[in-house]
Amino acid sequence: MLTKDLLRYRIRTEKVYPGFVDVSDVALLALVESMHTLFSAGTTEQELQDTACQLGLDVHPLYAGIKKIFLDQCDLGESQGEVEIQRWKIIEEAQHLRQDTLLSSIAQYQEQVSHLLQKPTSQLQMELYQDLPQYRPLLLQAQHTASDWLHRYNCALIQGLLIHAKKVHLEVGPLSVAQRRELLRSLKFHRLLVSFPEGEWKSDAPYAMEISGPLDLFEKTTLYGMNLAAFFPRVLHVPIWKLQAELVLKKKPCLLSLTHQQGLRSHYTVRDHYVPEALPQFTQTFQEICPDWQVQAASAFFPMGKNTYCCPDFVFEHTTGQKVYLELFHRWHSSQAVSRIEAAETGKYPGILLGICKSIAKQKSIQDKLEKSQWFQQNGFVFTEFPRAKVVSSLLETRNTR
Amino acid sequence: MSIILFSQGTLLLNEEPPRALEAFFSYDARTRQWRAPAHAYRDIFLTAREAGVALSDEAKAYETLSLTLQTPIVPRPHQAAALQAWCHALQKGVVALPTGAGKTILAIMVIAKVQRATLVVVPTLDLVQQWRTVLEKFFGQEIGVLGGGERKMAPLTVATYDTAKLMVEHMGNRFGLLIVDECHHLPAPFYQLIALASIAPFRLGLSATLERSDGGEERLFELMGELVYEAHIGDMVDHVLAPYDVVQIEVTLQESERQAYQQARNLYVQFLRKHGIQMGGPEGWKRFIILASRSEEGRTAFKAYREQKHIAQAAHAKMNAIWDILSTHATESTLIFTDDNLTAYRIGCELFLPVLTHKTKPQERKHMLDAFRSGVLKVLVTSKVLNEGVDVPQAQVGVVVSGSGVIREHVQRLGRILRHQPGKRAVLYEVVSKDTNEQFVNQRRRQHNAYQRSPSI
Repeated sequence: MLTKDLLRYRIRTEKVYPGFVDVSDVALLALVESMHTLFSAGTTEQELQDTACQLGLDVHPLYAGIKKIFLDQCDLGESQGEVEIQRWKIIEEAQHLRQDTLLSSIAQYQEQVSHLLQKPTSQLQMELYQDLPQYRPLLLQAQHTASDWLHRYNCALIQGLLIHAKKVHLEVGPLSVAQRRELLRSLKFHRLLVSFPEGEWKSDAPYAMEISGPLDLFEKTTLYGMNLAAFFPRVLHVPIWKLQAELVLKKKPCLLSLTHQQGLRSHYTVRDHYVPEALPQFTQTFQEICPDWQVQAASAFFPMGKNTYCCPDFVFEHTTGQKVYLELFHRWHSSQAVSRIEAAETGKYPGILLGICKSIAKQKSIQDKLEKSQWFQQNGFVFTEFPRAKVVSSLLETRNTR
Repeated sequence: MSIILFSQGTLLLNEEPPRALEAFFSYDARTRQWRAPAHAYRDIFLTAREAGVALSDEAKAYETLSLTLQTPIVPRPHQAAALQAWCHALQKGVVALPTGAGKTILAIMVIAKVQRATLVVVPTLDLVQQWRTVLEKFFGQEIGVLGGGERKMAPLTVATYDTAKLMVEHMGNRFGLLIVDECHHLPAPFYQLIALASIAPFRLGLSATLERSDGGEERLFELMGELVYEAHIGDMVDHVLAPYDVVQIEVTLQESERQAYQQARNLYVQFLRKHGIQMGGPEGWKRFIILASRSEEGRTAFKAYREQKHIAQAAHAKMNAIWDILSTHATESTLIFTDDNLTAYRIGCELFLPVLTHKTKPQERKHMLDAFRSGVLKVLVTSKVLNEGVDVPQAQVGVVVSGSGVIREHVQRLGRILRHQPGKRAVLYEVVSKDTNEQFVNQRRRQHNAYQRSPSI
């Protein structure tokens, strides 16, 4: 992300206007392509800087910011030879000379050191610190198109601003279960907490949340700005969203407003598109054996307190209007299984069933919970790859007869 | 009985708080729990005890230790007084002592007194290693280290500010005593979390220079406790600190440098005058930065500002002055301070000297410091990484080639050479470019009382 000195923005009437770059600007794309070529050449930062200077790239107002984006994607190669050993040799010989010989000037001293080590002064000076980061080759670790680099720049600009955020208000449009889980998991990963409005998170309506850190309840500061900044690219995976961040810039409060319409793009990996192959088969078979129940992908969402959220996979609606939700825990979604059962055991969520994948049911902590939980024995089941329609239908029928 | 838990740098109560504790907890609608900041832990339990409220403590995860000093300590009068003052303040508070007055020994006495798992937070990796060595020596046990690629926790652990900040939400309940070295850094927005998210009921802040330009001292006292003991350099010279002289050496710019300096200076000053900017305080600097970013003329003025500063700081004649100082003190341990890494490496290359900056690899940093302490290396060039805390008792000569006008920085640099040794008299040289802004900067930093008493000024 961009550091404070590289952030380009304006503030007018307490609103922040980020200096986004146009990702299709021909001149900018040419600048990025030139920089990509320089960064791909395996040169040192010093050489790169010199070349950029010769080519006149460094006078561009965006040069420093874009360079930072490239540098963030680089590793440093090792310097040639045993620089450290050589350095100590030069330093020690020079020190002996200073202590043992009366020398009248720097020039005489340099000449003597050069004579002693049998190398010209300029060479010794060049060799002395050639393992400094700026003299080691830059190894670019990522290959992107020029436009992708500019997208990264825009995202990094917002991240740099969000470091100064106290709080973020996020409104999202319709989301799939997987997308919701991904968003909520990411919030937890970044140690952020969310205020949700009362009521159901409906699939066709926008849903608003307020994101902040645990201590924000007491301290109105920017303590969690880094967490909010790291979380932000995940927001960009949401198709429709609106974000307002309360920032403190130059010691003054101001507001940053963003939406999906600005075309910002995330560089985080999308992890929410996996749909088990057995899913269509499950719904079809279920519908055949249970005509009294309609099965659909669920859009409901239940904040359960204690920073746990239930995003059911399916909703089953009986002809009487009764709704039952089923949440499945697979091996890639296992960490919340025990806390979910504990929340359900409170009796506050009577319309929920849980399915636990066999591979995670074998884990000691989960196994103990499943064996001891009376609630799970009545409202849950273990499945191998994907639940069998028959198991779910019989569980629903048993619940109805209880 | 109410149960209190630690979670993400806060305390959670399993039920609505009893009346006596209502002031500490707020209902957190985000998680539907009652929450208090972790640093309120001590007050919550003291209040509960006074009110006769039973609380089950599932937050605390630190040990009571049975530490014995492997090397006995005979405290100096000021150390004994500082310890007593800290104990009187209910084992919480800040102690300000000049560099070399034995803050680390005071901390060892506090750890031995409190006997709780302790987290020591320090600003640099060099200080991590230094504290680790001292703690190992006095307590004869393995010391945990968090920072510089190490992630090992132990009942006595040393961490950098940066790592402590990242980990405190997970480990804020693992230590009963929190010691923050160079605690004037703590009020910085990103570092406050270290104190806020820790339950440590016992807290000690240590610093040589509490002054902050943003007035953050009050925040520091909120987080760590009040200032319980303070002593100044002037009070300790001769018996605790080495006597010292401050010598200013003025150098003249070469003709080409003078012309370039004047040209850049004129451009910069004209811009200030045109916009009515007074550079006397922090507001003036802020205004200059804002206006400079708004126009081509401003950007040129900013470039000119940097250029004139660089010319003055890196004047060619300074190299000769350094050479003269090194020739005069050829057998004495000398630290050379610069304002930036570029100048430090320029001096290092020109005079074949070892340079220690944040870019030096950790292993070589240790090697350099050990060699300097043992006298194998007589000279060390550094920019800012040795300003604080690092113990180099042999250093007898300090050379400030360039620096900021920040008083704290200069007091710290002076402190590097003041460690008391029998027969030692320290000398701090300030090499300043004549007829440049450096002279004003130098005058500004001399306002500190440490400079007021020096006979050589």
